[in-house]
Amino acid sequence: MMWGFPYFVLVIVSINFHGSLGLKHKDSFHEELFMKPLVSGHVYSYFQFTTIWEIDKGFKDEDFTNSHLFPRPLGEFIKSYDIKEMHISLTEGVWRHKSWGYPITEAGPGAELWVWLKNDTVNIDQKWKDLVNSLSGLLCATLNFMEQANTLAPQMSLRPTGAFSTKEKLDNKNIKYATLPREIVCTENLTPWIKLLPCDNKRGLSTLLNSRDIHNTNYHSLGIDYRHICIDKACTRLGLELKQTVSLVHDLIIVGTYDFNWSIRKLFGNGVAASCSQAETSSVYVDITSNQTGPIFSIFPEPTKVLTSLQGGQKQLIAQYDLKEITKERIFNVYTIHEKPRIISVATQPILYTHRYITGYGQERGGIVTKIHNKHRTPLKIIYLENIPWFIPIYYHTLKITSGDKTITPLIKKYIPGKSRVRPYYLEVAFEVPERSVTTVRIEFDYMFLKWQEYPPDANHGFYLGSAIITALLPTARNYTAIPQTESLIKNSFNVSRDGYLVQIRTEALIVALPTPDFSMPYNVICLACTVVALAFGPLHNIASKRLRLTVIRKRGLLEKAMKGLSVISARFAKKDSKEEGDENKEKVKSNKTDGRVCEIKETKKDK
Amino acid sequence: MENSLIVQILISTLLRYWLCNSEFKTSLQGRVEISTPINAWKNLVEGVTLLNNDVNPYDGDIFHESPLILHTFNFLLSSQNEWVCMSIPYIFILCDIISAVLLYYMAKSYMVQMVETEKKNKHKYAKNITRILINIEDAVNVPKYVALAYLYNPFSILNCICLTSTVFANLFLCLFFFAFVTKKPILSSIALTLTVLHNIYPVTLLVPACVHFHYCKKSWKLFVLSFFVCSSLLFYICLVLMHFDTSFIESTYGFQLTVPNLQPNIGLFWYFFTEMFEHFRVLFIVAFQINSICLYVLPLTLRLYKEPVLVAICLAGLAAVFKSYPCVGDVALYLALMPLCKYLFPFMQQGFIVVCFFIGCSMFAPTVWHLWIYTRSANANFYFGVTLAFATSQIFLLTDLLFACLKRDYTLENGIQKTINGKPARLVLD
Repeated sequence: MMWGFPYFVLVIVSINFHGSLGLKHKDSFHEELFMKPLVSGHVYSYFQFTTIWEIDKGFKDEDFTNSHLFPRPLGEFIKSYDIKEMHISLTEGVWRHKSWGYPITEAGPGAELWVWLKNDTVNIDQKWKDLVNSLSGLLCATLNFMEQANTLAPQMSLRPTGAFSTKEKLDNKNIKYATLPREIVCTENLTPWIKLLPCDNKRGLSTLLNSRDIHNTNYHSLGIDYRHICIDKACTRLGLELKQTVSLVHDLIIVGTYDFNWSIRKLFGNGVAASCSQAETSSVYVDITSNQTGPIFSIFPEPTKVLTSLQGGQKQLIAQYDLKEITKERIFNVYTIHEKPRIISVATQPILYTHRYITGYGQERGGIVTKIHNKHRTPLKIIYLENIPWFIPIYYHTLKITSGDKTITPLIKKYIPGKSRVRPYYLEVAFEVPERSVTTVRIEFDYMFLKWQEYPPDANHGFYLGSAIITALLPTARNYTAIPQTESLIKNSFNVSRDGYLVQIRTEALIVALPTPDFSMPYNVICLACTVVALAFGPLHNIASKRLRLTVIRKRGLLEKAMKGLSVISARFAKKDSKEEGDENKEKVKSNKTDGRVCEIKETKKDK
Repeated sequence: MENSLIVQILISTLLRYWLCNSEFKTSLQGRVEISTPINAWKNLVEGVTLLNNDVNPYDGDIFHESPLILHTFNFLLSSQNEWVCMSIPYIFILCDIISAVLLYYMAKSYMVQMVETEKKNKHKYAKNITRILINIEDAVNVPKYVALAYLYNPFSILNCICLTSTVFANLFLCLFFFAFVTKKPILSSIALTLTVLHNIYPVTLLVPACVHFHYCKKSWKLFVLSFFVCSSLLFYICLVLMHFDTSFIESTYGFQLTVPNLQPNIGLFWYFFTEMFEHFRVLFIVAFQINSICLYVLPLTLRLYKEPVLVAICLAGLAAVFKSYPCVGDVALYLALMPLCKYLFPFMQQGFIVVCFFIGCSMFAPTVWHLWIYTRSANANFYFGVTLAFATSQIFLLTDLLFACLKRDYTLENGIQKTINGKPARLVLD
C-alpha cells in the first residue's frame, strides 16, 4: 500500500506526458489504393500510405526521437544524414508508357535513389556513402553498391519536389542520384518496407500486400518518398510527408482470369477485413472511365461515391470506396463483371513516350539510341538525362539529336565526362521535340575492357545500363494520373487543372555484353608475357655483358650422340660398381678436362 | 634528290590520298592495332569537342594527347574556313612524306659518315674483309631504301590514312634522327622534346645522342641543356594553354605509365594487366615500365658506344615493342630505319623467321580479333597469342641486329676466316 500511491502518480504523469506529446505531434496517416483497368487488359493498382507530420515553426531540426506515426528508424536515418528530401524506388519490370499511360509515380528498373541533402551538410561524399549503407540495411537491398563511381548530380532534371525556403539557394552539390539497374526486388525488400507502416500488415490496405501475389505481376515497384511540404496554401505551416507506395500491374492472364473479370480477391488473394485504425483516410479508388470509352463492365459493390474529375480537358470517372465504413459490416472486395467477352482495344497513346535500344554488332563499338515520340500537336520542351556507367565510355562529339531529316540543336547541354572507376558519364540535354514527330537521340560508345576481377559472376550475362530520364511538362492530362506536386493524397488529385502536367519518363534499362578475358588462366598469361620480356632481356644482357669468341663446331651424328649418352650412363653405373674403378675414371675425366682447357687457351692465343 | 625517288614519293602520296578517301578508312580507323586510346583520331575529335564545350578534356577518360596537339587541332577543326577543315587528312599525308624525306637525308649523311669511318679505320682491319665493307653502291642506294621503306611500309600507310597522332610523333622522331645523324644538337633537342611531349618512351634517345655528339666533337652539354630548356618551355606553353591546370600531366604521362585502359593493342601490357592480381599490379607496372624505359639504355650504350645510331634505332625499336600503348605506326618507323643497317644483314640469322612472323601476325591479328569480338567463337587468348608472337618476332629482329653488329666488328678485326687450326669454328657469346 505504501508504494501504491507513488506508482499511481507515476502512471498519471506518464499519461499526461504522452498526451502532451500527442498534441504536439499533429500527425496523420492515410491509406489509399487507386486501381485502374488498363486498355491492354492489365490492372494497375497503386497503394499509397501517407504520413503527414506538421512540424512547429519553431523547431528547425526535425525531432524524430518522439515519433508517433512516423516510422522511427526512418526518422533517425533522415536525421543522421541531414536529408531534406529522398526518393527511393525498388522496381522489377518496365513501365510501358505506350500502352499503359503514365503511372502515378515513375520508377526506373532496379533500384533508384535520389536525395537532396540539407544545405549546411558537410562532408557530403562520406555522408552519401554512409547513407546508402544504412539504407541498404534498412531495406535489405544492396544499395551499398551505389558508390561515387555511379552517383550523379543532375543539374536540371531532379529538382526538389517539396517545400524549399525561397531564401535557401539550391546548391547542386547537395543532390545525389544513383541507380542500380541490376537490383532484383523481392520479398526481403517488401518485409522491411511493410514494417515501416503504422499498422504493419495486420490491418488495413497493407494486408493486401502478400509477397506471393505482388511478385507475380508484370511490374511492381516499391517506393519511399520523403519531403517537406506546406500544410496550407500560404505555406505558413510546414510539415513532413512520408509516402510509401507500391505500384503493381497485374496481367490478368497470369492471375488466371481469362474473362478479364478481376477482383481484389483474385489479384491479392484476400479482401480487406479491416481498415487501419491509425488511418485518417482509408479509401479505395477505381478508375471506371474505361467503362464508358471501352468495354462495358459492372463494378460491385456499389461505390460509396462516384467522382467526376475534370483536369486538363480529360474527364475521369472514379468510384470511391470508404473502407472505414464498409469494413464495419463486411470484408471489402471489389469485383468487376464484363457483360461481353472482352476485346482489347488499341490504347489511346500518351503524348510522350520513349523507346531505347543499343545499336551496332560485335563487342567493339556500339551506340545508344533513344526515340522520343511526341504525339501532341505542339512542340514540347524536354530535358533528357543520361546516366552512363564508367565502363561504357561515350563520345560526346557523336551526340546527335535528329527528328526525321532535321537536326535539332539543343537549348542547353551539360556534360561531365566519366572517369574509370571514379565517376559515371553525365549528360543532360534540353531540347524541343517537334510536334507529331519521333525524335532520335543517339550517341556512340566503346566496349571497355575491364580487369578480370571487375567482371561480375556470370560475366557473359552483360552489364546493365540504367534508364535515362526524360522530363517534360505536358500540356494536357491524357493518360495522366499523377498527384499534383502541391498535394499529398490521391483524394486531392481529382479536379485539379494546371498549366502543365509534369512527367519524368524512365526509359528501358539496357544490357551491354562487354568482351571478356579468359578467366581461367591468369597464371599462364602472366608467365607467357614475362617470358617474352625475358626473351628480350636475356639476349640483350648477353650482348651487353659478354664478348664474342670463336669455338670449334663439333658436328655430331645421331649415332655419336647416342653413343655419348650411353657412355655417360655406363660411366654412372660403373661408379656404383666399384670405388677403385670409379677413382680411376675420375682421374681420367680430370685429365681430359685439363687437356681441353689447355687446348682452348692455345686456340685463343692463336686467334689473338 | 633523285628523280626516281620523287616519282616514288608522288606514287605513295597518291596511294595515301586514294586510301584516305576510300571506304576502307572508317573500318581501318577502328582497328586496335592502328588506333590506340592515345593516338586515335576519334579521341582527338572528342578532346577538341570537349574543349569547345568548356569541358576540360583531360578530366575524362578518353583524351590523352598533349595540350599542344589539342590546341593545334582545335584551331584546325573549329576553323570557319572550309578549306582548312578539308585539308586535315592532307596534313597527315604531308607529314608522312616529310618524314620519309628527312629519313632519306639522314640516311645519306649516315652512309657518308660510315664510309668515311671505314676508310679512316681501314688500317686497323684484318685482311680480306673488303667484302663486308660498305660499298659505294650501298652508300647510294641505302638512303633510297630507307625512304621507300617508310613510304611503302603498309604499317606506315595504315598509320597515316587512319589519321593517328603517331604520324606527328614519327615526324618529330624522324626530325630527331635527321638532326642527330647530321650533328645538329639544338635541332635534335627540339625534335626530341616534341617527341617526348607526345610519349615519354623516346626520352631514352637522349643517351645515345649525347654519346654521338661527344664523339662528333659537338657539345653534348649544349644538347642536354637545350633539351631541358626546350622541354621546360614547352611544358610552360602547355600550362598556359591549359590555364595552369595540371590535370593534363596525369592524363598524358600518367596514362602511359599507369596503363588504366586495357584495350587490346599489339603490345604486351593489355592482357597482362587484365589478368594481373590486384595486389601485384603496382609491382608489375613498375617492373614493366622500367623494362621499357631505362633498363636497356645504359648497357647498350656502353657496349656499342661506337655505334650510337644503331643504339638509337634499337632503343626506338624496343620502345615500340615494350611501350604501354604501341601501334603499327611505331613499328613502321624503326622498320624504316632497318635498311640503314644493310651492312649488317649478312650477319643476321633470323631474317626469314622474322619476316614470316610479321606476315603471319599481320594476317592472324584481324582474323582472331574478328573471331573473338564479332563472332565470339574465339576468346582473348587467341589475340593475346598473336600479340605475343608479334612481340617475340620484333625482339628477335632487334637482338639479331645487335648480335650482327658485334659479329661484324669481330670479323672486321679478325678476318672472315672462321677456323681454329683448320677446323670450322663459329662465334658465340661467352
